[in-house]
Amino acid sequence: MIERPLTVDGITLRDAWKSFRTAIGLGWAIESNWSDPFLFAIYTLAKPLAAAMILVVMFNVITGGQGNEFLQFLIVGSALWNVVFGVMGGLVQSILEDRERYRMMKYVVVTPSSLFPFLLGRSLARILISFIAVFLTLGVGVVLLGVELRPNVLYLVPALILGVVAVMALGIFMAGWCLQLRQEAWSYPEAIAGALYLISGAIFPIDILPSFLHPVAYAFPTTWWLEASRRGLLGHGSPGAIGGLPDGIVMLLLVVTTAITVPLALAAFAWFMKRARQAGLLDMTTGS
Amino acid sequence: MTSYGAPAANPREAAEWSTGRVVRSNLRAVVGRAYPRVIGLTREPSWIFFEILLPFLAVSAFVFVYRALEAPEEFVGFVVIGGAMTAFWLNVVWMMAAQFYWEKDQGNLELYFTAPMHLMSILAGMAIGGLVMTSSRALAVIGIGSLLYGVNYQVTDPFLLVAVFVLTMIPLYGMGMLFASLFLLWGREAFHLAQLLQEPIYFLGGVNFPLRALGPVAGLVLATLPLAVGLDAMRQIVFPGAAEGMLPVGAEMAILAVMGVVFLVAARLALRYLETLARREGRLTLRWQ
Amino acid sequence: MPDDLAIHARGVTRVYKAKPDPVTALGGVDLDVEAGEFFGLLGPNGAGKTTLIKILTTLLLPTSGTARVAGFDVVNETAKIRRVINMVSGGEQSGYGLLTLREQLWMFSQFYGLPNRDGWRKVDELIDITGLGEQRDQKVRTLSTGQRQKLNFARGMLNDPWVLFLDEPTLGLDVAAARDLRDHTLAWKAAAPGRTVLLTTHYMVEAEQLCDRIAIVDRGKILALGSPAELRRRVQAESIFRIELDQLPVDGGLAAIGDLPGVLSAVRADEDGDGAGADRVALKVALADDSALTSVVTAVASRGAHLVGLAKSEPSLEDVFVELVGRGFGEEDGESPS
Repeated sequence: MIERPLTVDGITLRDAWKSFRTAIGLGWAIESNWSDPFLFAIYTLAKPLAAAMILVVMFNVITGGQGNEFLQFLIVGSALWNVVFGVMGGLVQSILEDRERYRMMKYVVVTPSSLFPFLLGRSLARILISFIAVFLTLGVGVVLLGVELRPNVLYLVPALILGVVAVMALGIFMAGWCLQLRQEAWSYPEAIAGALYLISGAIFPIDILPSFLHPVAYAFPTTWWLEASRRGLLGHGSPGAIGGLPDGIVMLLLVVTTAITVPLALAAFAWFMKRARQAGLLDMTTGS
Repeated sequence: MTSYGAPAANPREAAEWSTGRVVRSNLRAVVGRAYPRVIGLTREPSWIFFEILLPFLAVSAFVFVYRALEAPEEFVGFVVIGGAMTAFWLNVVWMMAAQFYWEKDQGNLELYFTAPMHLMSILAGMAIGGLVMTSSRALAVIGIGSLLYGVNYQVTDPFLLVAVFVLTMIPLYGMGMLFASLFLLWGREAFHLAQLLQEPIYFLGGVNFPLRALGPVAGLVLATLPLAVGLDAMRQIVFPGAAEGMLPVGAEMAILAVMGVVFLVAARLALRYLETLARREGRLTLRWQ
Repeated sequence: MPDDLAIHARGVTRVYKAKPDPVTALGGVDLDVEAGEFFGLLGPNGAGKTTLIKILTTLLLPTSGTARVAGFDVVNETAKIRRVINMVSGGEQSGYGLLTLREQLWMFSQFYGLPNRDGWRKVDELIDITGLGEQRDQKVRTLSTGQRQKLNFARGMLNDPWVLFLDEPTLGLDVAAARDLRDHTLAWKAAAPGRTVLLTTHYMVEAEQLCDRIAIVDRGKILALGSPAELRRRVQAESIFRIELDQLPVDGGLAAIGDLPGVLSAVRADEDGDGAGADRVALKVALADDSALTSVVTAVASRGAHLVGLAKSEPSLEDVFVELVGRGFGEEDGESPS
């Protein structure tokens, strides 16, 4: 009897793993191809720190520096949001770069492996770099701004993992969507991440939003991820209604929203790929 | 069926262009380069969602931060104006400064360099072509911001506001041209440099808060960053009394005028010098540089 | 005078900084191309052809040496050069995908300073000439490779350049498309005296068909320079013909042919293992020059044989290259020819 390999959609898991692993190396080679490490360090540091400092100055201008709890809320949200920018930006950038700049995407698509593990692996380096930004921002917050971290590792680690999975799902959705668009789409993940900024409780409590937006905010896994990560880092929840929920409920809601988002995103990506093949978009070059 | 026609009597004659012809030719190049930008907007309308609606939502996030902090209402106005101006800054950074990066990828950079127009014409064309999208974004932020958040603009002198706006745009786009020349030198790193020029500039430019809040750094910023100077002046005109500017509007306009000259001259010199350098090192033609 | 030449280069060298060692792409090239000439640079990949073209089109500075195009210095007079040249490269994908073919050309017409209406008129003319009429309103990203290259070619004509640089323009094109492009190039050049073309290619047929003179380039140096016929004579001074007859000439046979004035040798092609078949005889006849062929044909006919076939056997430019370098176009040092 012929032993058939385990497959998903006709692609073996072994092929997918090989593709993922190889793409990690490729992504790292591309991201680490710096002729000036000093500039790389500046880039990794300055962007997330400036984003946090904008909020700190806004806070200080109004409160005169009073109200440490809200400042901690701001710093942690701003730090973690680097992951959202990094993941979404990394996935979309990978797809657009490989299609328009390196023109390799068509060659990857015609291999037995699917584009999906390749994309994930390719963007992993960017994701890891975004975590450096998280640590740096938190570090500056602790050292210079009086942020007090009380990490609960058992709570924090699963929260972070689930959050990254959820954000990657959103990123995959974006990547598939941007495949339908022209080259300027490289800026769209930041636009989407900026919009999610609004409804995820990243830098202000969700209670401040108009009430009709509350259900939208609660439907996104990023909202629960931020809340769970804050609890895991600071030892307490956010200001507002969401902060009153028990830790278990917050984690459960993170699991549920992630579990809904991931398959939806994968299905959407598959549909976007099919549409891209129908419309001949896989090797399209655009630009203006 | 037509023929290929015939050129001028000899190449030396063909190569000698009067000043007027050079100017006309460069103006035509501006129009030519702006064309794909403008026409592209009509052929892929997704930009309306991504370039207007979503950025507006990002600006709204900062509005809600001030609401959470129970800030005076004029701070909401500061954020809205700042958000509108970031549209122009992003146009400068991505549609000018980093544009040669994209052009080189597509193989167009070589064709630009072998054509007789000046590079500044190409950059100006890109900027003007992008202005349609940029201006739409800025107006949407201002308009929707006013409607949704009840921002009350008290423009004391609309002509002065327009003058400050124009005076801000000139050095802003001059900076963009200067950065574009740096791309010729730094190649791929210039792309990352362009990414670096977002949040740090929003911070130093006081996009979301009065420039005064930066303390001693504000003075240095006033001398170097046209976005900050322009924003500070515009806020004083739009929110008189509420916005405490660093300097009087007149003084800030003078600074912008000087910046305009400095940046444009610097851009021209830098483009010339760095083109020579890039030709010497072969960076114009090496795709993976 | 160098200023009267279309292209003048002396000692042009180009060294690229590379790790572990610098790469010398051009090692002291001397070149003079007359106005009105169709000049070819023929050589394998990596020979330095594209590097030389990039220097002449002001994209690259030479490390040392001087070069002038249409009398202007490539280092210091770039603006003037750019007004009288254009460049078409093969295998490229430049262009803005969202624009139509017509818009793409018009945009470039503006870069060359053509007034708006003149630009559109010129564009429409070139579209008709290059046979792209049906694609004029198609988006650039939907064009086939051949159509895209025709578009590039049309772009190269927009400013009526005095010197046109063609860098492997038929790369990746099918036979018909390549032939079309070559025909357009010749027609364009013939339309006005003084138009000069510098072509780089590694297709020998293209070089032989189009070029008045060819420089064979390898490893950054010009190895030989001359017309295609002159270059072939370096390898084979005589003209060799293969003559197929229905029978050997009677009344002296091959010896009689060999004794004719201008005939250097006459042998049976069978002796080289190159027989013509059972019902015919093949001869290989070496002549001092082509004019002796008439007497050979007359002598054959007068000796009772009938001419069945006649073909000239000439060395190819690759044979010239092998003679000069000791290897073929596709071989690296040390490899034996396949």
